[in-house]
Amino acid sequence: MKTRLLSCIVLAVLASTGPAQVRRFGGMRPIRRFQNVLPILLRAIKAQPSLRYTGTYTTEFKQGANRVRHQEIITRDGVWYRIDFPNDSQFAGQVIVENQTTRLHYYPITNEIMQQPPRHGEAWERVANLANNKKFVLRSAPGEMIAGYRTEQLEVSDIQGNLVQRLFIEPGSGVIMKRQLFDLVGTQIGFFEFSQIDMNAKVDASTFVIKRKNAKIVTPMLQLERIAKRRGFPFRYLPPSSGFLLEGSSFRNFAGVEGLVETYLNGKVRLWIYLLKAPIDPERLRNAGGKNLHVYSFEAGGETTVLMGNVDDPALIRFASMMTVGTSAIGH
Amino acid sequence: MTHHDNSQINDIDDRLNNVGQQTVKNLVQGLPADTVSLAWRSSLNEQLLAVSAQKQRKRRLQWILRPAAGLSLATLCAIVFIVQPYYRHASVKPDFRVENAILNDHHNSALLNEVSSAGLNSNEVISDANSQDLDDDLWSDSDAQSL
Repeated sequence: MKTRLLSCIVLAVLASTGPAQVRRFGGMRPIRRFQNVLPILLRAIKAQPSLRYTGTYTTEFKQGANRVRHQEIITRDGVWYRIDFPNDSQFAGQVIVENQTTRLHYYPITNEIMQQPPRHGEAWERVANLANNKKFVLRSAPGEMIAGYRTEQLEVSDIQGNLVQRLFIEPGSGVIMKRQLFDLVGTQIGFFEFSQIDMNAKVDASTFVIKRKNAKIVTPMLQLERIAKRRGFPFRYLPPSSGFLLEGSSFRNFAGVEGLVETYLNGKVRLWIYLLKAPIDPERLRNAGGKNLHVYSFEAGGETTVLMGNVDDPALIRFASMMTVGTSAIGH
Repeated sequence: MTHHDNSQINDIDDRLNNVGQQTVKNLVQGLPADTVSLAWRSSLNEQLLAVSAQKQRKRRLQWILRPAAGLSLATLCAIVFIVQPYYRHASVKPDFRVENAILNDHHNSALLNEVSSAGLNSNEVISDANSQDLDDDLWSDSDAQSL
């Protein structure tokens, strides 16, 4: 009797954790064995799953000729995250809560809670992968003081010595206090930097819960359907059987051509799908894509669909053939 | 001429001279002579003249219209096959503005995902849900409840 009960418990645990392990949507992967890794990077990699702090940082990225900047207030406990925004921010009132399996984003203006696959693991995983990538050269040096903490600087360059990114790590905790990304000619194209951090903060579990009565739950599929209806696009999407889950979608204008952008996630692999109300030159996209960006496009029903991502060409063609035109997102 | 032929001729003469044939001959000879009226002839001539004039006018019109139609067709062909390709070439200059805009968008989106980590990504920064003028009619409460 006891053995049966134990077997049932084991099976139940495996069943509940199995899909998460298979999908690995943003979940922390087991850290691989790193050899000859700079101690400061190893410190940051090992610390990530157990970091606990609250703080404020500024994020900036280059969009065309402009630089878009905003502040975020973070509360972190291991793989649990909460993001708030300052009162004077254009995003004030929005709350993002993320754990290993899901990401919830509350929008006060619409009183909606957007449900998405989590993605917090992506960035630090890529940092971890730098350690084993022979295309990059890593070098450490004393860093600047950030938010009152001394940091150690980690420079990542290509084999020719061109700076790719720079990390500032607090050596005691392993927290990445600042991260800068550079383009091919050394211009900073994005960064985040803590302006304040409390590494001894007490974090309550209730911080990571969003409770809002009458708030609408919006899945990415429903969001896509809504945008497609409003902007006059077909409700065309890649089904989950492809292994990719829809993360989000938005309407854009590409040099006068209306477009609907869908982003998909499969673990750490991202796929972009562009629906455009005009034909394009696929060769131009393919030529510009390069080794790590593959492009496939097709025309149907007056629209052009472009699939882009670090996914090989046969897979892109297969995904293109799987794309479905739905009538309603309910039930998907 | 044989004896057999002579006997056949005599037989035909006998038949023509019989009473029936003579009666029909007298009836036909007694019919009044039919003469064509001058008025009818004149009207026929007028009609023939009118038809011939109409035909001539038509032929003259065709003589003008046929070359004109041919010339028009040739001009049209020239526009379609010679002038149009140059026009198309001039107007649809491959400046790749749309393609470049897509590549830029992709680059920025990938970059922001890299920088943002758990924070806002590019979709969320420009989401319609950030603006007040959201058309909520397309999204009903029943949609949310049916989840």
